Amino acid sequence: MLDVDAMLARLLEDDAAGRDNDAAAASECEVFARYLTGTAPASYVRDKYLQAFAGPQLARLAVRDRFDALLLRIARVHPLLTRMTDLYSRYLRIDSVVRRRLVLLLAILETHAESVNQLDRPDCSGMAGFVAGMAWHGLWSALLLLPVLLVLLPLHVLLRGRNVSTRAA
Amino acid sequence: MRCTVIGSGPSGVHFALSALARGHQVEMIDVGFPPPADVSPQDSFAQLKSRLADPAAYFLGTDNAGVLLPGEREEFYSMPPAKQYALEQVSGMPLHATQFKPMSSFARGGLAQMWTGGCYPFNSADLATFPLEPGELQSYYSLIAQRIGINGAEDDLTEMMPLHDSLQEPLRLDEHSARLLSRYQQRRTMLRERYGCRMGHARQAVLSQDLGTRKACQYLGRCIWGCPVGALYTPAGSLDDCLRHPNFTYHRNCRVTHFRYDEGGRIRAVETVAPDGSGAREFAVETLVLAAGALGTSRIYLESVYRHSGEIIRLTGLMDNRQILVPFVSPGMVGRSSEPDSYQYNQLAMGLEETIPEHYVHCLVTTLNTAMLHPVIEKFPFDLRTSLYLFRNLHAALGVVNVNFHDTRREDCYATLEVTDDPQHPALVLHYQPPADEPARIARTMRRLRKILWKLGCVVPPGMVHVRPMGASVHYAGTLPMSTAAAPRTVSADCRSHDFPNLYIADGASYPFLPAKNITFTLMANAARVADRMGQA
Repeated sequence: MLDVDAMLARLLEDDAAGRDNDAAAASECEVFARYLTGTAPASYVRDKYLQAFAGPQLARLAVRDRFDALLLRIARVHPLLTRMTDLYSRYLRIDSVVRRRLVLLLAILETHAESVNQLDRPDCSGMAGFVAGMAWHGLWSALLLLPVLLVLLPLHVLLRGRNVSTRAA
Repeated sequence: MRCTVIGSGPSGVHFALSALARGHQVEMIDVGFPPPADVSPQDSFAQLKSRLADPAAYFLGTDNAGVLLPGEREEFYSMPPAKQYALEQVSGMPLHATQFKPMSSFARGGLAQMWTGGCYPFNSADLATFPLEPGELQSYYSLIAQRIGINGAEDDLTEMMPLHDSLQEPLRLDEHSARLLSRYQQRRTMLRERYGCRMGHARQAVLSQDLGTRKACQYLGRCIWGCPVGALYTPAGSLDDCLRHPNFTYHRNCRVTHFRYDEGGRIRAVETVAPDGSGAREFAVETLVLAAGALGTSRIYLESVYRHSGEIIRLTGLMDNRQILVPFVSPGMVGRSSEPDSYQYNQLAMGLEETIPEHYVHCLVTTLNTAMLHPVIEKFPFDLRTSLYLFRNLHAALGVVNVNFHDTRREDCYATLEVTDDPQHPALVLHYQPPADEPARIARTMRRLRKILWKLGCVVPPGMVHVRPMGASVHYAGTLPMSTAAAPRTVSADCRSHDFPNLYIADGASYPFLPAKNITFTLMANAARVADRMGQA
């Protein structure tokens, strides 16, 4: 039977520092864009996202430790899991790689005419509609937060400070 | 007379224009990094996103340096790539700062190339410690307004900032700003009497009518990214005016390291290097005018004394305005669309009276339209999906009050040098110690501001007030102050050095007090005054 370290190592296998490749980043962009806007990214947005990983500021987007790698691995699977990892990051790991890459994508989306319309067009009518919408989003977040905490918090404690390069080596 | 001006910022260019008008020969020495060319000047902010081939490169930079990632900086604005040139640094200028985060510029036009255009004249309370005749600056405010074009209105703010000539009509308000001003007018008596609050149109160096070859504001919404039609004044435009004058000479790519003086204290020359530290040059000097910004001027002054005598002196009294950003939401604007086709910096200003008039608090009220969204969205206390819902419905309802506090000269705030490994390149050391009563003053003002905003129909979300670090306001002043006493390291009322008879300090270093109001307008007015006084001397 595998021990916890071995299981985590296997889980993180593809996400060690420097292992990002275009296909993984493109898939990540697709999932993240669906999470943020509900639709697939335009090719321009995807290209800009991929370019960010080839640029001089790559370090700002890099995985910093094994918990970071784990969050990224989970977030890439499905927009719902992206939301869960984002939710966890917002409260307990504000500068996680998931959050940083999501904000990068958000920044690119807001420079693109079609995407910014999706992001920035009001979709409620008046205060009552707004409050109802916030209640709906808040309820969703609250429902997701409990399982997220139960699963990720112990792993966060377990993997805290473990350098991803150890595994990569 | 032949004068050598160091720096092309607002003080330098307006000193030069006035000196040239008086028939002097003016030589300006400057690094002068040029701005990039304007991109699609006819397009609005929204049109750029659909018409540019690579809009992300324009808005975020080719290397995404304009993206503010979580945990990096607690700011609501990221620096537009088109303005990065204004912060490009040069070699051989080490800096050590404690409790102070200074910004410096070697751009053509200086730091004011990225200013927000606020033009608020000092009143008699602001100038109480300046050794000037009453009303001495008034005609210079009018002169500068005529040169650069300022819009504003005679309203409640006039009580705190005197009117001057050549004030253009105010710019068109966006719906959110108009709503706030209307609300203020409805509750004016109560807000004035109970909270000492005055609100009115901002006064901005932005044209609402054509002036010379400059066009009036086209409401393209690109102010933050660099006005493409020149409606928002920048000093580089005045430098162009200087360059058309036959008595003006401009030496660019030269950073002044120090001036050389004889045993009588008479300055004989300035020495310069190229931005990369190479190519030392010397310029003979008849009259020297330091206008390199308070920190640049302080460095040159300190280094000159050090190179002459080996002595490391301390210039005390370093000042800057503490700034606090207070985001607010106007619930009445929820669900409306934002207005990208509007003027993007603060359209309204607010003044808070204090028991001691000099302690006046100056507030700039900005509604959120075309700033980058991600730094704001990322700070909401939710996951990004929820934050996006919140933002798109609140966008038109969001605003921020930039609260500015006055500062005073104190012994424990200073600039000096530190010699480390390389004696040829001593480090500039800046030390700032906030006044002991600052936390109480801030807390009191925040309570008052929250109440005022509530009366204006706005809510301040909890946990989002941001106290900016000292240095962030870029209103540096006070290291070589005006003084009627001929004390060392001070200047006369004419800004002539008490240590070096042919040296004038034309920038904020000469301020003996720093009011809460934006200082650039007064920098320009005072520089023009100094040029006139120099001519009379």
